[in-house]
Amino acid sequence: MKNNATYIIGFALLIMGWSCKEVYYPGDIKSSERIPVIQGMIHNDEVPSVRLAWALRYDDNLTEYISGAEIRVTDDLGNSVTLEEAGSGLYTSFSSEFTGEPGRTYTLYVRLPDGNEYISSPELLPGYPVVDSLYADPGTREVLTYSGSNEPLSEFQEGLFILADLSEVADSVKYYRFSTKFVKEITYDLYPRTLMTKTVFEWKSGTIGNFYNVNQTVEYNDKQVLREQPVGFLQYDYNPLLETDIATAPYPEGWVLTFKAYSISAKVYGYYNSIARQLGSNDQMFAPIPSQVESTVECITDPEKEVIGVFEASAKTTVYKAFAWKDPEVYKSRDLESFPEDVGDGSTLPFPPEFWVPFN
Amino acid sequence: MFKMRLRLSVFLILFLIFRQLACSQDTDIVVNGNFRGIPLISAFNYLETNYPLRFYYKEEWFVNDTAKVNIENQPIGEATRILLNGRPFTYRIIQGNQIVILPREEVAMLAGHIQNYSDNDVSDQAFILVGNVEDFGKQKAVILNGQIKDGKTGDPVIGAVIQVNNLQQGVVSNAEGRYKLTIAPGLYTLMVSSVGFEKNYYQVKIVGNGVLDMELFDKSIALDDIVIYGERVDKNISSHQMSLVELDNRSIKQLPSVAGGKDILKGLTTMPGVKSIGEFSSGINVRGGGEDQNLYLFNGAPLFNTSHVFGLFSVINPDVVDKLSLYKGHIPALHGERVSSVVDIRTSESAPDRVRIKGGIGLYDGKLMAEVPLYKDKVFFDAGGRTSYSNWMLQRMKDYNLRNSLATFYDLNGSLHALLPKGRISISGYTSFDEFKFASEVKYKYGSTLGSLNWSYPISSNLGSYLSISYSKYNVEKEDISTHLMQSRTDSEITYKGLKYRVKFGGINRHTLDAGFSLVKYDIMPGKQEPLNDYSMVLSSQLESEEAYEGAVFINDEYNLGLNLTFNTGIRVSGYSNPETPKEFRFEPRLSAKFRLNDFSSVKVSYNRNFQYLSMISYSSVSTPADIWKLSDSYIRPLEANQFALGYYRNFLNNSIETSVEIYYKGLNHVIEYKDGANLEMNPDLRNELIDASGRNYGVEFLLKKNSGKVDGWISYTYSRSLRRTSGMQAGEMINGNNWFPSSYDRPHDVTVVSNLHLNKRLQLSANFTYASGRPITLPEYKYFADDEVVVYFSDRNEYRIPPYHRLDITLSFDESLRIKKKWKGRWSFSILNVYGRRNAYTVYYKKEDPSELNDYNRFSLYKLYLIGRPLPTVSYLFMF
Repeated sequence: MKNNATYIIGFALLIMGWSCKEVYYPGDIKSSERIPVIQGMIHNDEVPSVRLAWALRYDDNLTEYISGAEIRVTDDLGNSVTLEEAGSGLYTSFSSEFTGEPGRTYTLYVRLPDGNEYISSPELLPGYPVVDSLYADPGTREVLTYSGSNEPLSEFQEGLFILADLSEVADSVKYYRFSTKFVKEITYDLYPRTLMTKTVFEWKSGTIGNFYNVNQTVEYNDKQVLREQPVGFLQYDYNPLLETDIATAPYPEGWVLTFKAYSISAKVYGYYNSIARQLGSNDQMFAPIPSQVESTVECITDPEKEVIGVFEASAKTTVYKAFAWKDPEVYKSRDLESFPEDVGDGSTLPFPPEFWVPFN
Repeated sequence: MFKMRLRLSVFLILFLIFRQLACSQDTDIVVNGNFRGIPLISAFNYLETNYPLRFYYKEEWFVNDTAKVNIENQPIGEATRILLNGRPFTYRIIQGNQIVILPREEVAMLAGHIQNYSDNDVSDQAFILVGNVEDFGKQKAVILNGQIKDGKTGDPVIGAVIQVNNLQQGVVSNAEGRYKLTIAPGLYTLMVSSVGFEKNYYQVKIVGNGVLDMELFDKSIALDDIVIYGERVDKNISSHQMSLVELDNRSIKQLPSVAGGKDILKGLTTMPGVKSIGEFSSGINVRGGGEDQNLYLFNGAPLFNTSHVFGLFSVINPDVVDKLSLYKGHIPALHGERVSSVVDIRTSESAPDRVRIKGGIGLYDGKLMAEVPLYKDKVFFDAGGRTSYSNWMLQRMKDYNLRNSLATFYDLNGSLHALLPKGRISISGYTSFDEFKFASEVKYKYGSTLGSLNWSYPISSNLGSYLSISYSKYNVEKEDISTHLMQSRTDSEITYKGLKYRVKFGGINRHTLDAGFSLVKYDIMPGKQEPLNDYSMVLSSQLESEEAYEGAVFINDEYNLGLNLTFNTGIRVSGYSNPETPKEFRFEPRLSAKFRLNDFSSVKVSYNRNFQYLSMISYSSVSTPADIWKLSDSYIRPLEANQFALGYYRNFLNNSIETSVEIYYKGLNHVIEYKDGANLEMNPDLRNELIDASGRNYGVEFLLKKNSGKVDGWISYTYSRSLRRTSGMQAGEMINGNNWFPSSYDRPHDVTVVSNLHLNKRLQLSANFTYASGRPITLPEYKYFADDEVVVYFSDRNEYRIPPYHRLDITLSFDESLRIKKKWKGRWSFSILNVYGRRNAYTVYYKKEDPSELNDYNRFSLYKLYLIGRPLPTVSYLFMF
């Protein structure tokens, strides 16, 4: 009898299905209007660049770039530069005469082939960020993956949490965007324990954190400061189980970071932060308040026309730093004067490449 | 004096006149007993104790009388005749088990000396005599009063109509089931009726002032139809109060089954102007207002959370509720604190005549309650509890997420009542607890604790006073258990301490005054976060606590002007103080008027202004128990509502069919809206995420209700709008360019059809159909790539709607027995919710994905979450004894 009751109730629950989700296809999404996406930048000592594309409709996947646009960047001294099309929606200046300068105000003007004209909010290129320190905190992070039956599988990863401190002697809030690239240096022995054994060098490039890593300062001791700003996590992924007859297990010798802090305006911060919030509210079934993109560009020929866009005028401070860590508590770090951009990936080089940073 | 064994009511004298002064009655109760040499009173006591019998007599008649008989297998009529043999008494059996003993001499004296207004010949029928025989002929008019009770449960029947046949005279029982009738002495046939009950007839002989309690019995004990009705059959016309929905204890039991149980708040959503934001969402939305704009009072203490299991069940056990009143329009001046509605929930205040137990068992929960007399009918208590047992079922599920989830709750309540020589005092307590865990991601624990003391004291016949002291605490504990490094616990809590005192004065001709004051103290701990283990990276933090006082003085006058015109005017002056802002005072006028056009129709109009100093900050578009409360301050201004309503009410066919139409307009100031992507959790600068908005809610509500017949039920239709508008000058403080936009509660069309088919006295088939426009949502219209991320570009706020909601539920209920004498009453209910398996959306949300064939190589998809996607059969069993 008890079993019967159990089955009946269990069956009822199964019938009920409790709660379920299914892909939802709203049939009446209004996306007949074509909305341009304008993403422009000018940094100190760099020429401006702009990417132009049409926003994709809800059910489209192929990006359509905008060609044939007229794009100008002007500053508050009356100087201007016309950007030239470089393909795939990218417009830039091939002359280095017009570059960003802290203290100057820049405005982006775009005229699309359909005749509509767009203009950004005037952007003051702020002063340089002051990075007090870039440092690491050894620790462990937990990453969840899910099995086919939705069972969460927990993986603990050891490594370095990279943090940054910034400060500014000013009484107003400063806004920053951060971008960090790393090059992981790896060495291991090929053909270990044989006469042919040799040490080879590998490196892998990537980014940590995301493009929308933004934050703002708070006042502390009459300074606008930002402390312990998370930059990203460097995983120490040495695994002795990989050791084979052909090679010893590769382990990271260390990481070289190119950390860039951009000082941006409040409006541009609002744009990036709205995207960061949007990405953070992904996959939440209780449907939080949507985070709409806060554009800083508007259409001047038709103020009702929608446009997505940002024009970032920012001053950039770059910090190069190498980190090495093999011990749970201790890591080594070294400040570098410079490090080349875009070294890409490389493997089994029998000698270290030119940019190689030795850690021993 | 009469000895009234089981009903300790009042001065009730029962006499019988019948053709044969001594006769035995046919009844199926057969008794035994050796009564040789024992007092006659003891013999009656023995029979009452061992058989379902009641004897009515004066003890003084038999003080020194001894029985001398042995009764073996005799029907009770014959047994009584044997016991009274040789004595100057006769008897009459009524309703099969009540034996009224009368002196033969008095019965004979009364016969034939009284005016007969009854349907029967005076000598042809038995009459119940009311009043002292010695008073007969002294008064031209006498007062008959008493109480109408449910013969099955003993509960008072509210709104029962007592009609005097052959005289166009009648009254209606009040909120305690009591009535009062002024009438000339005579023989009468009284017809008692109420919705859902069989009509009952009493032949009475009224000779003087007296008391007569009368009983009604169910047509059939069909618990699964919905009957929501007012205090009297034509109350919708006769009362000045408009926009009022009432459920009494009986109609609450008749609410539809939801997952095997009843639900009072979800039952309310079948009425016009009352909706919920989604299937199984928490709470109700009244006339376009938010869930936090309703004041839920449980025996006078406010409830801050109304749902178990995130909206699956209401926190109030329907079995313990005696009466629920929902004021959705004209809120009386004695109530305030919220702007949309007051839901006043009361447990029983009637003394049980014996221990009564009620219970039920459904698929997911079980419940039990008891009413216990402690000292005569002066002191009594009730206690009830409910708990779920869904965990063991979840643990048997194949799906990992379900298998590792928890959904458990309980609630307990109890009240102790004492009837004082003057007045009444009641102490009530309530506690509830929920634990809800979804897989290995998040765990919620939340619960309420309520206490109240209510003391009513009649100062004079025209002046009554009422004191209420209340306490309420609601706390939420949220545990993030997703990863060891992020494991943390966040607590929040709100505490309410209230005092209300009022007096009601009816000593001025045509006026009824109601005046008093109230004082409330709020304490809120908005958030305290702590790591759950040594490895957690979450730092301990606590948001600043909040406290405030809210006070009010109020006076209300109901003025019956005559000429079918009644005015109800009130003023409430509320004051608010917190450490951050200076004391503030606000006027909240209340006006209403009723003009009765004729016996079957009336017109009513009302105006209300209300202020609300407490708001709920919701983490999502769907209210959940995890939302936090926020007090008004210098930035978050008190919510103000001004509501106008106009109604026309018309009944047909002797009030068996009610119709009404109400139009309302509600203007709102200082409504809280949220900035895009608002970050509300543990945010010390919460106010920076909020936007001050104005609102306007308006609509027209139609109701057609059939109260009796083989098929009863109602159809309600509401057309309404709930709009908001911001007025900020900064980009982040504007929503939709400061144009009007629909709020999350805007569902223009709402139709409910409730019908009950009484197949016979034991079997009933009910069907409920609901259709409502889809709730507004904000959808992604476009997307674009930025640094290899897919970024979504949303529509205007609430520009779209989820698909319309509609659902059909059917219930077949079956009573095991309708016999009055049978102590155990049981009922089976078999329901199918969502008969045609519609997948009504609960929420729509988006999720980033890896492009694949499954999602047309999209980088994100919209998902619809639905709660009941298939026909859901449920079964429940209710019992009482």
